[in-house]
Amino acid sequence: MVNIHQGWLADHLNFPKVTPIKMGENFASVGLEEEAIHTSGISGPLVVGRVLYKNGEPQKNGKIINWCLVDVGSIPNIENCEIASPIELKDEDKEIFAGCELAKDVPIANVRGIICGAQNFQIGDLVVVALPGTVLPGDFAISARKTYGHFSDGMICSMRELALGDDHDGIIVLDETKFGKLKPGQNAKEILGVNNDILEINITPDRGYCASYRGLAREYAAALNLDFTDKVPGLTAKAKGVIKQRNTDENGYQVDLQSEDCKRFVVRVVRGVDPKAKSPYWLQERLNAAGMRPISLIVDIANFVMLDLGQPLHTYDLSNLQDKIIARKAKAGEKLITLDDVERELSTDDLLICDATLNNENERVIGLAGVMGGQSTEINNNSTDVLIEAAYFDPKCISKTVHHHKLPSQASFYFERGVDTNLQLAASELCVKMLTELGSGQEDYSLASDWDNTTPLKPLTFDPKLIKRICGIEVKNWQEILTKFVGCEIDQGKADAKGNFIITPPSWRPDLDLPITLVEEIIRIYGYDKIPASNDRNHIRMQNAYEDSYKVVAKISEFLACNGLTEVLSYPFINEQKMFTISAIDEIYPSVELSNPLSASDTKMRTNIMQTLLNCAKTNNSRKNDNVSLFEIGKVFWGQGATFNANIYSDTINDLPIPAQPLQLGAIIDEGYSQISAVEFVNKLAKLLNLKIAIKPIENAGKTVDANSSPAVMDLWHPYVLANLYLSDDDFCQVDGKVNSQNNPQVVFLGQVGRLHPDILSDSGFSANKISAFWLNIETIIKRVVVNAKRSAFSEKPVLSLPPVLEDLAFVVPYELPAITLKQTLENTLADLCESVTLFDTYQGKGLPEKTRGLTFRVKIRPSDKTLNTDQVRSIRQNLLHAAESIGAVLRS
Amino acid sequence: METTVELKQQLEQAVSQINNATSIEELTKIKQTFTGKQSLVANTSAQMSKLLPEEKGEIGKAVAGFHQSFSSSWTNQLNKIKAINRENELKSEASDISAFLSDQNYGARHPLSKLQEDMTDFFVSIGWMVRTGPEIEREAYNFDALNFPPSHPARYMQDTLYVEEMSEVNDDKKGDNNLLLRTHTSPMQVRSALQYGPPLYLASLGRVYRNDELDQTHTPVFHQCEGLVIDTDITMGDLVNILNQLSRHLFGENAKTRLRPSYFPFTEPSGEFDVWFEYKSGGPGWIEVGGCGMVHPNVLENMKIDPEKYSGYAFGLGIERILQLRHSVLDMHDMVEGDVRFSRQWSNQGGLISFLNNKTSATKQSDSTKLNNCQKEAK
Repeated sequence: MVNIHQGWLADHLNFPKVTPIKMGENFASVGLEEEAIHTSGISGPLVVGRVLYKNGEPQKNGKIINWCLVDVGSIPNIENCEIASPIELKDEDKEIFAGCELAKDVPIANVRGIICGAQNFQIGDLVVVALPGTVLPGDFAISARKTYGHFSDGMICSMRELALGDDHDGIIVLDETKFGKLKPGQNAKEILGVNNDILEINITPDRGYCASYRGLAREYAAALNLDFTDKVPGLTAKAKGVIKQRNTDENGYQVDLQSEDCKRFVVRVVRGVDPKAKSPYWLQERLNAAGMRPISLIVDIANFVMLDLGQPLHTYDLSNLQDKIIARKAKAGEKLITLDDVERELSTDDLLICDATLNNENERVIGLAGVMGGQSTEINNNSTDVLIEAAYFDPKCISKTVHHHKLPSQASFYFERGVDTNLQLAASELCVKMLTELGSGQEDYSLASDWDNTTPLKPLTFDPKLIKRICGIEVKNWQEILTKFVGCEIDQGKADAKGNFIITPPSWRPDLDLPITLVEEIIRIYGYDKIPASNDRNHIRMQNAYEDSYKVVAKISEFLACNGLTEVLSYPFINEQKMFTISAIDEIYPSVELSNPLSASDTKMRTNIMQTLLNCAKTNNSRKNDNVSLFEIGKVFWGQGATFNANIYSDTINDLPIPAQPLQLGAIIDEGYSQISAVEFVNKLAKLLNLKIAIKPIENAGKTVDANSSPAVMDLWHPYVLANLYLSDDDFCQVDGKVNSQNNPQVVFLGQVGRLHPDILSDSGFSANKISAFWLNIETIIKRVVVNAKRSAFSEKPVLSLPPVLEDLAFVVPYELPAITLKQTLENTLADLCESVTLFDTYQGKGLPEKTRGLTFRVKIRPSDKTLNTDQVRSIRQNLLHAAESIGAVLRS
Repeated sequence: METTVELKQQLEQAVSQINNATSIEELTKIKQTFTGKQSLVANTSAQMSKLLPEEKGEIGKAVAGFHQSFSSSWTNQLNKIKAINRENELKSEASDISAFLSDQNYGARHPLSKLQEDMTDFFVSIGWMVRTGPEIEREAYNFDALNFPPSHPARYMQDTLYVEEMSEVNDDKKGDNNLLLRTHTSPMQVRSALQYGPPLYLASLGRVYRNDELDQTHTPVFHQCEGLVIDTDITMGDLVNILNQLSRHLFGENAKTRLRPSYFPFTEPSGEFDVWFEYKSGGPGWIEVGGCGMVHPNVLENMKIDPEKYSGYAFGLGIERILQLRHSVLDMHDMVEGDVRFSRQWSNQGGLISFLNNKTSATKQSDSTKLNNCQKEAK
């Protein structure tokens, strides 16, 4: 967030020169983290050259192109660069060279011919030459090339080509009065200051003052235990002198602070600034290093002061300004065109800067305080008289405006973090000083004014015992840390009767608002790394350490993974417009909508796990992966009316509900790979978790289709291979207090199993058609398992030892009679005698009446006390056949 | 005397035939021939009553001897033939056990899930409780209770995905307490503190959301693990201790932690922690792992806990990042897309999720860019 220019930092602090990496480590030790290290993007031989000869050659397109001979010095001046030898000049150029006035002491081997389109230079000027082999920012490699009838053996560079600024009107002409004596062949990177890698550090939101060299210097001094002298008190004293010196009859420029959100407003005026004056190279270079574009002298100086001290300034063209400034909140409906040419509708939370006549007439809005100025009073190319604003705005107010208008600016970055309330005079002073020195301006003392409603920061009552209580160690020199490095004042320098100290934080640390914040300052500068690890506390033992869901989810996941399914974790966002339907679900809840979705299409949260699981299948299929059998356990989100788990997450802070977010399991099974079908997975899971799951086939989920039907939305399921799943258990229904199915109050809806619809399969890229799937409300299962765990132990049924009787019964059943219904009928008929009823064959086709199929069951009957005799077996068999017949199943003859 | 000699001869004959027999049928025939109704030994036995007493003893002995020898030879040979038959039968069933039905017929857990389970087990093993919590939250829990003041830049540090209000909640009651997708698992710390009170030793794990673009190193949906401890006399020393333990669990026995100052609204003092990772790709070194600090007194008060009596620490880390660092996962796309080849790698490599000993380095993801190249080809 902040780039550190070592030379600039040295203006504030004497410190040993180090590499950016080392400097980053030093800053990190006091809490300013390295973000990146930037290189200039320039490598290779970038050198100073002297123009010996220049000849403008008109071209067909009307342009004039200069053919130049440039002395680039002797080569070994640049370290680590392999430089191609100059291309030998043509004879005619050799002759020209011999005739050059400046060429007297220059060996011809140092001279290169270069084509240059710019016109802003003369023979004798010193320029920046990129020799072949140089790489400029943007990976722009320079090589010798034939152009305009010559061999151009390098390039003369502009500011923009070196990414030093936007200036592309002409090439850089090096001014020896600024850079000192220069010599052709010198390393131009050093001269331009682009030789250094630049460290960028992160500023945490609590320490806005560190986004300035003043703040950085203070922190660096703390990191290395150096002496730091703050420039600000000296500058402040000078500014106070100016305001005192002001003719006592005059009041200075008038400012009316109508809103509490503007607590301080310092005005200084400089007249007669040369509008043609350009920022000196060092200033441009520093702004560039900070990642800011040099614009004009006045704007550049304001930016420099902001970066140097941490006080954003605003500069107005005085000639466009009336005699008074008012700071007030916006009224409803007010508008402003900001510097970026956008008309903005203002909110009543916005703090405005307005101007008016001294009689408060003709009031108009001229800026969004602390965020962005307005067009009408902007500094322009002709501005000579400048009014400087150095203000303090309330951080919360600025933050609201920034986010309301989505308009973060450099200035708001500082104001949002809380600017030093005692910095405004000093910053205005530095700005005046620079405008005077660099822009030949004169301060108009009569207009200087300081409007101050700030209050000093609240002193803290600090008990040093808190240090040990929180950090676990004593810090003996805590007073020195707070006073010398942080800038606090300790009242009387000693404790009161209770052992407390009264400590006032410095004006740039509004974040120091509680005693604990002083502890952080003390331990941060003392060193986090000096805190030793404590020993274990061995008495810890939390009850209910695992969440109820943990074991259920882990068990299910391991089971599925061991049986060939791969777990995925899909994003839970869906595009409801394009979403398939899921037929036959007993309860459907509305979806939850995002206010600011990640993408314009995926605006809702999934209500069923299958909605996003299929996306993963699609990805896998498009990559031609094998065995795309997947599962996911994740939350789904149900909107209004879903009170499923509201009791778990009831809001105890504000008593507001949140949407239900139950866990669901979804699984897709490629039966070409899996040995286990979807319905068998469900059965096995029921056994694994000790649950009774009822499978209720959906008889006909198909739709009536006629010629006039509009293209239907896809549905997840094959309408004729689908069943709903229910937890069937009386206890559970009572405990849950919620009965789900209208048909049968003894069951709770749990999920579905079936084969996927062929349209869904082709949409998801499946080539096989035997893809089945199931999904389950895991949350319901978890509740059931918890209830199970709380129930008293069941009594074991004795294991019977008498021999069983096996009966194989082949039935012919109507097509729509589900096998499971017949199975259950047989089981119920046998009652206690039933050991198992197993479907071991299904048949359809030849030999059977139309619309029927054959189901063969093996029935295992085991008596408890006496072996069954033939008559008994016959009678049992008769009972079974009767029962089967009653639901339409007849014995196959 | 003749009979005994005859019996002896018969026995010799029988044994010889038995030893030459190669099938159970042959053996049955031999038995019939030498011990059946018409056989010498049967006849001899039948005539026994007619013999003189002095003859009885001798012949009786001979008959018994015949039977004993015959049946021992016979049984021996029977067992031998059965064994040969079984062996032949087994031989005929020989098949290549290394020929799999299908190489692709296996599944896998997602390594992020395994890692979360592993971390859950770690915390439970040291006596803590572990909670996951809801993903749609309210600002009150996600920000306010955690000392993010309204309009403070910290609230915007994490770009938040907001959720439309439920129809049953009216605006007056709601105020600024909007619904959102939690930006960290900390709201569950608040809920747990309010539910259980101190002393509290809690890890919260689960999914969190930020308004970020999916790219090589970022994902808008990711997983976090946070720790919260509140008890009497908790200090930063305790924090250092737990971070050391957790680091060793996640990064091997020689891992150690380093704290640096930082800022979070909910802790004071706040820090970042780095871990010394022996198996870091490119050589051992420090890696940035997470944030930590001492629970801010304002947060304790919001949790209805007296900051004068109790103190606490908190820390948090991203689970994707752990996986990334440990297994050299170069591209975040691989973690979120659900390509089966990603997760299966962990099964193929023996599922090394925790460091079982310090000699083994973690499984490295095989060239992850491969997955994406394939994707390109498929398109």
